[in-house]
Amino acid sequence: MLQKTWTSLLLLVLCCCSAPGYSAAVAEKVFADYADALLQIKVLEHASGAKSAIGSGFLLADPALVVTNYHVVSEAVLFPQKYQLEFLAQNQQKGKLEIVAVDVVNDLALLKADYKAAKSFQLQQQTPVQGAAVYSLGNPHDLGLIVVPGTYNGIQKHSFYPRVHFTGAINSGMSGGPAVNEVGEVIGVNVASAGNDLGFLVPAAALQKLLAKAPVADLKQDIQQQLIGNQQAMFQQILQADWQLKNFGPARVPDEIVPFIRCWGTSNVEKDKDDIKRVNAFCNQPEEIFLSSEFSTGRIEMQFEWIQAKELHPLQFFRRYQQSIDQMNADNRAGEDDVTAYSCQNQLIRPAEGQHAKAIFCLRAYRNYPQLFDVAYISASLDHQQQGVISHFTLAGVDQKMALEFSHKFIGAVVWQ
Amino acid sequence: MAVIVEVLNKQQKVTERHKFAQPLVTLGRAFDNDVILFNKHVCPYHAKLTQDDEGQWWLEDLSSVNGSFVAGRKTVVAKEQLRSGELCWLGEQALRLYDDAHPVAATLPFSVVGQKLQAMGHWFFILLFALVIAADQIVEIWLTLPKQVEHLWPLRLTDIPKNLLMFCIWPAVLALWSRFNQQESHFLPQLSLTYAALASSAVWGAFCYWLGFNLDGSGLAQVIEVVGYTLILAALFSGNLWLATHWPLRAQASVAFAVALLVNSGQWAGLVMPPSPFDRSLQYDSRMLPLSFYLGKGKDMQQYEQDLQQLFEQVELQRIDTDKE
Repeated sequence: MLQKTWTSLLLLVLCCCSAPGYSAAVAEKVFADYADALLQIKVLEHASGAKSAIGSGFLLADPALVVTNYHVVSEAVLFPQKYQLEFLAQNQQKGKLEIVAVDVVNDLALLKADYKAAKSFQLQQQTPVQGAAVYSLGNPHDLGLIVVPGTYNGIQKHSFYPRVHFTGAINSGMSGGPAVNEVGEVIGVNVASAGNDLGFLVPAAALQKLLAKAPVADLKQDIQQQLIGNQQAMFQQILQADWQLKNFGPARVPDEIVPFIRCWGTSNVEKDKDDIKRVNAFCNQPEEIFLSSEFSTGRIEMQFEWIQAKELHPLQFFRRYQQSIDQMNADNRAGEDDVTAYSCQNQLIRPAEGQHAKAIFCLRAYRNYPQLFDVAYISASLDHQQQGVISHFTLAGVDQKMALEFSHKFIGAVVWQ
Repeated sequence: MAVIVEVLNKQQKVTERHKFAQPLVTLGRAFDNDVILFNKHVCPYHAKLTQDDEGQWWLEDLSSVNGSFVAGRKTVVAKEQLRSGELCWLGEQALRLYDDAHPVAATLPFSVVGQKLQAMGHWFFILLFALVIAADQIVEIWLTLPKQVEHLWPLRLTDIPKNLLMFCIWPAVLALWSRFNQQESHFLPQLSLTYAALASSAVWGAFCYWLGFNLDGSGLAQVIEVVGYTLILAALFSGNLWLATHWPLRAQASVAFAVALLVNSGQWAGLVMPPSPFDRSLQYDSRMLPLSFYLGKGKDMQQYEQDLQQLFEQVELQRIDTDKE
């Protein structure tokens, strides 16, 4: 009896150990094989020689280039006279790095280094299966190189940008490190974490495209073309889509017009005490493109508010209504060197089918990327004495044509029934 | 020929005026003098004024403790001659001597503005302006107080007399200043003037709200608004100075205008200074009224989109301009 119990206990322990698809032995082998090709990337300030940013990178076999995230090396790309790049290998070998090409949309950078490893990384050619074991390598919090086992969970849904959903803990500082399969082929590049073992990788296909393009002569001009190209692709989808409208109080407003724009809603209807009834709907494309630590772009946001106050005098109602439109903010971060100040156009408009509305359209230009603008728009319907619909959108990093076409479609889409 | 002796305070304002027909006038603290002085540094029998045969007046010191002086602080050793209109001092007490043929300034006629300013001190006007201010504040509470906090009405209403009282401080300060300068205090006209300025500001604010809505928050509406407020303040300060001082008109007007500009400098800076890219909150005019208050028709979409195109061009030009800097 006792022996039987012992046997089953032993079996249980064995089962537990072998249950995950990944094993410590594989992780150890991957790490041992490729430790040489894993590098720590440092951004150093010329003047002080101090570290200003730190991240992970890895050496590819062919071509012999170092891969990391753009956000790790962005300072050196934008201010080459102020910052320089350096790598530190596992064997304590140090050396300079040169930027070959960047992809700001997919947050990738290719660097050239005078360094050879015993074994360097190859890209995986076919897509892994759902649930496949993936090992993410990197240098979290400057604590030394580590390996994090996890699973491949396909491409992230509802995202405009293709990102591999990796179930495993990616921490800051591991950015730019590779995520590989059991034989050490690169599936993607560590890029972001949403906490709780939810990580994201840039798929190897994006890296392949960047490799085909390298080297790039004028990095800044190339970044601008990437931004314009990306926004054109995004807005082509948005503008060509047949916009789904939803009922919103007395009006109809745009809903989830494309898969990568998600919507939410709130209201204060249950609070009887309020003399004003407010219903809110909010939609956005939340993913930003990182340009520098002070400057991000690429977000889209739409917001609607239906305000009704049956017991208020029209003058009272309009004062409250005004308070709802007087605090519009920029949606993306930007420094003084990145953008001009906002200029606003204020107008009472009369769309053919819509209602009279007070419309405010604000605009600022990107200093270093001609033709790109941030747009903020807010309008409030004026035809009713005790109710109104506010519609608002912000676009970051769009050109004039896209902005005007979007505004046209947006203003036309908000209609009263 | 009679002599006039003026007793002056430290600001050289006249506090007493005496006229004597005799050729000898005694000066001192003792009660049997012709001019009895209060100043404790003056001796009981400090000095005397005597007229000689030629009609000239002389100041003679009677061996006083603190001495006597004539123009230029010259010490009187035995006696010194005094001309009509000249100052002299017994210790630190200033006196002035006139003979009765001394010319006086021309008569100052009543000014229309001055009379009107004085008339404004009538309680009827003060009450009228106070009512306009109170009405403006009541409307503001009515427009903004949410239903959930309706019980705050009495509390908010008590703010109105508090505010009215608070704005009494300014005319009171001006009245004190006038008193200090030995002039009439004019407290009621000053109070009326202050309330009139507040009431005009309230009416002007309501008008500019409507104007801003109708002009779609254009720069012109903003300029008109700030100019209006500055003019109201300049008028208030001119009136204040007119009542409180005897400065020349031009000086009053320029000081009033300068102070009005200073008080409104924040608003002027907002108009003149370009917006900064550091502002995350956008600068625009959000004023709204029901559609019936809008006199224009509004733009159709085609015109609106042309305007937006112009805005893009304008912002692009700004970008190029700032790049050059």
